[in-house]
Amino acid sequence: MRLAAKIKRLIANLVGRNRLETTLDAELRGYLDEMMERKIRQGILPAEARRQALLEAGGLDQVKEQVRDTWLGSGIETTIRDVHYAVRTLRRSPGFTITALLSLALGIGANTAIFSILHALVLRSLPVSDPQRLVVVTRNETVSSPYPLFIELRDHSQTLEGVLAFRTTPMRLSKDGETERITGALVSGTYFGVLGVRPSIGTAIANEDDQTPGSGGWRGPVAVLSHNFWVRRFGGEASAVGTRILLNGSPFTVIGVGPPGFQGTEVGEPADVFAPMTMQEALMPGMGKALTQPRSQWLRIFGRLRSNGGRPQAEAELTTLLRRYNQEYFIDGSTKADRRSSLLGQKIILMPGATGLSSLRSGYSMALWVLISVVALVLLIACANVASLMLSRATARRREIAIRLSLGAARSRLIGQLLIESLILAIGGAGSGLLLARWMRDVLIRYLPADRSLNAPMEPSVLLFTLVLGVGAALFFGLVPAFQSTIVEVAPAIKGEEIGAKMGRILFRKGLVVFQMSLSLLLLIAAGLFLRSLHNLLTIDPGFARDNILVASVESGPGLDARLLREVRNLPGVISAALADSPPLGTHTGWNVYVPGYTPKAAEPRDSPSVGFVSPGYFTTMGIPLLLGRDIDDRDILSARDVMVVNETFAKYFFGSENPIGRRVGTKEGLYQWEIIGVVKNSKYTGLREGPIRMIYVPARPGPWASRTVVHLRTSGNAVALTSSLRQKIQDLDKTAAIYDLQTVQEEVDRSLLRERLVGTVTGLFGGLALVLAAIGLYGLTSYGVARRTREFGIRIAIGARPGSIVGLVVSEALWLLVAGTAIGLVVAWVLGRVVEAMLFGIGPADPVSAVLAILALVAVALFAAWIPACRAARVDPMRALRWD
Amino acid sequence: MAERSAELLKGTLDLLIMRTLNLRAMHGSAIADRVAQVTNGTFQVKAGSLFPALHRMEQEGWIQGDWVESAEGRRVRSYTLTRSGRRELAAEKENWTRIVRAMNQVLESA
Repeated sequence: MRLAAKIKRLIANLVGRNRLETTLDAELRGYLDEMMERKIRQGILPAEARRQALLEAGGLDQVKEQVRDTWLGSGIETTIRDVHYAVRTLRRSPGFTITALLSLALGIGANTAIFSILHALVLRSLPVSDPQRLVVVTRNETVSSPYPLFIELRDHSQTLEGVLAFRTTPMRLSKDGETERITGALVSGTYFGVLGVRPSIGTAIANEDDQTPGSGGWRGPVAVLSHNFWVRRFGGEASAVGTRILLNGSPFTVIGVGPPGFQGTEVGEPADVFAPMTMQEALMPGMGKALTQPRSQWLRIFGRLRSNGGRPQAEAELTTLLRRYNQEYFIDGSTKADRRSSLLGQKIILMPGATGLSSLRSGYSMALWVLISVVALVLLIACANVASLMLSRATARRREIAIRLSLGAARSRLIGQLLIESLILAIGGAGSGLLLARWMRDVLIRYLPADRSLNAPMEPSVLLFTLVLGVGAALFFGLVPAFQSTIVEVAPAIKGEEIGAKMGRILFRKGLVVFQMSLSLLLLIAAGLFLRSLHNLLTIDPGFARDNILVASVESGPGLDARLLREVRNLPGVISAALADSPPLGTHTGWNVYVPGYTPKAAEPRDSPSVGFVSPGYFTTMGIPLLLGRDIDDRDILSARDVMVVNETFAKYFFGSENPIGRRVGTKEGLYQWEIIGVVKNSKYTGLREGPIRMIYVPARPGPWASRTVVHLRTSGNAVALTSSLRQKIQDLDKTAAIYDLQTVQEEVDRSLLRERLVGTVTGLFGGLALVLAAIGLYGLTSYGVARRTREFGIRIAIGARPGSIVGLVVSEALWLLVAGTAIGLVVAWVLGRVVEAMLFGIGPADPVSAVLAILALVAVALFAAWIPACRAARVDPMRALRWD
Repeated sequence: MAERSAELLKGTLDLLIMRTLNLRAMHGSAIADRVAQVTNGTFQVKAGSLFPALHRMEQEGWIQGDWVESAEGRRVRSYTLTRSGRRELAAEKENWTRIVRAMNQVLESA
């Protein structure tokens, strides 16, 4: 009842505010009249009586102000009034408001966009139960493990509550005669149980479905769809459960659909379909009989710690199990001592698994942290501008503030009011920033590699980040000006005199400008470093031709290759064609090679030589020059001769200056079956940044394991024109073939530089924005200084100063700020440069060219920004300036 | 001295006003006069304390202000103690007596 009464009163107060005011006014006037009359009756003259009555009451307006504070809802009322007032003030200076809003929106938007991706890729925990207890099992610094080791850990670990294994891999899914390439996850029977993920419909893959290699369990081969994929491909129909699908041509029964949001444990490669591990041979034919191979490292193993168990105990136990495993599989009487001790010295390290695994993360998280720092700095520069402008406006409003303070307004009220103005700007900026952020995020996601994808929803934590950013910005640019401008010496301020807090305020603004200068120099240097690295990468010679070559990856059943090559060679417009196991910048398996007469060096490279499986005509098609010997030809394929072509680095590494043609190479010690028939020029094999790689090419022979083939076509005209006829041709040959990554070599090279392009573009754009914002800051401060010193300049000109010297005077003051900013910026850039060293190419973090260019840009723009108000100062008319007051 | 009386007033002003209004309805200056008279001038209630207190108590619903004609023929806002005001007065009075008794005990015992 009491609450209801209060609410009623509150509403009455808010609605009937005017009546309350008139009542109060009449009441107080009546009171004053009464007091006055008493004094008149005592013989005091009316005017004096009134003065005394007012004095005794303590001022009519002050009393009113105190009474108003007791009215319920007065806080709401004043806030609403403050907001109205603030909006009105902001609208009165649209230039300021729009600049502030725009820079805030850009800054907050970019921050939010990058954060949403950073959050999705790096920070977000997997949507599984109690993710903090998940650990990633790593061994010898790799996350890949063989299947028998997984079985060992699964069956014998006591310290882990459960152990799961998975492997993300591309698959072909056919349904109703339509084939598409999807991302599949091979998962152990323990996968869903250990993660604590329950399907939204149907059942999950259980241990009983992962028993027999080749058939799964009693239900036969089963599959679980991810929620996203189920909605996309099956229209979200519950009847999807129970249907049959083909995965890589083998039948599977759909038994369930995962919960919304769950896309497996590999971030950046969201799984569409989950299938049991025991179906590996059908789903990853390239791995052969990996389920029984103790050496094939292809699985990711996760464990779940017991709620009371620690990581060190689990590591110790798993290490014991690993050594037992090594002992059992790799050590016998003939094992050399050093090999034995290295096998028995291996350790298992458990890494936090709450955020899942991601190959994308390692490549991109650094870039994302750099980008979010860049845009955060730009936001800071923008905030500094707003703070500086707020301050100059507050200075202009000193008289108003002084009058209100003397009329009894509490200082806290005035600060609150000034802060409300900042908050409105910040909320406006954050709101429009959020709209921009969605779009910016989608642009950013396009800069991820083509075969990776990421869901980065604007979820609550991202929105919270935006909110914190907005409020933080408001406090940053609102608080100091609000406090400073309410420290006013009332009497002189009302009279229009300037004393007191002025000096501190100017120093603060100068500090802001120096801060802006140094930050924008830092950003410009970063932009220079990244753009120059990108330029170096773009102009590097990859060693193969980029023009008029089309590549397409094809996944099909066995036996397509020979026919495929014959057919595509005859396509109109094709000059030459070849097949390989990898696109020009792809991944390659490594071979340990043995060369008779070669004694291993003390420090052998960590990576073994890489192998490419290629058809005849590969080097001609790719434009890789043959330096010695001959190319692989059709007879090598037909006769199944073991011949290989090596690159220069390989030849030089193993044979020095000797002629390698005719020399033999083995993949096992003592068995040297491979004959070198040719040497080709070096090229790039995995990416443009790589150093020299020892490369081997061997004939690609059709085999049951060859599931992925990459077609390379050199065309007489524009390669893009052939895409549709190539696609058609492949589909004619094999209806179940999945075709993907159909692109020109130039496109592929460009795509390999997506990250560099992203970082270069964003730092370039935001570096430029920072420069403009800093120039605005300097311009604002200099203009303010000129306006304040108009009289001084008038006197100087009156006594004979030349315009040039006035300009020099003003610009030199700005120059000092510039010098200070540049010095600070250079030091910071020098310190931070090393952090991004790994992202650079062809230049060091202390690249003088980038630094000099950045300084030149900053100096030019800053001088221009100072020169405009300086000219205004030089044009001051002494007569008018001196007559001012 | 003035300082101290103001401090005293702060906690007890509500109580004094309600006690005054318990006799009959009164307007602002009359309440101030009455309080001064009863306390022999110890409490001089100024406008800056009186009106905020009146309005706060009205917002609480303890007193109710109405426009009436005063004895001198002036239109004044006269305050009446409401039912919940009477309850509040009783409770506050009780509270006050308790405090005074406790304070006295402390002060006498020393």
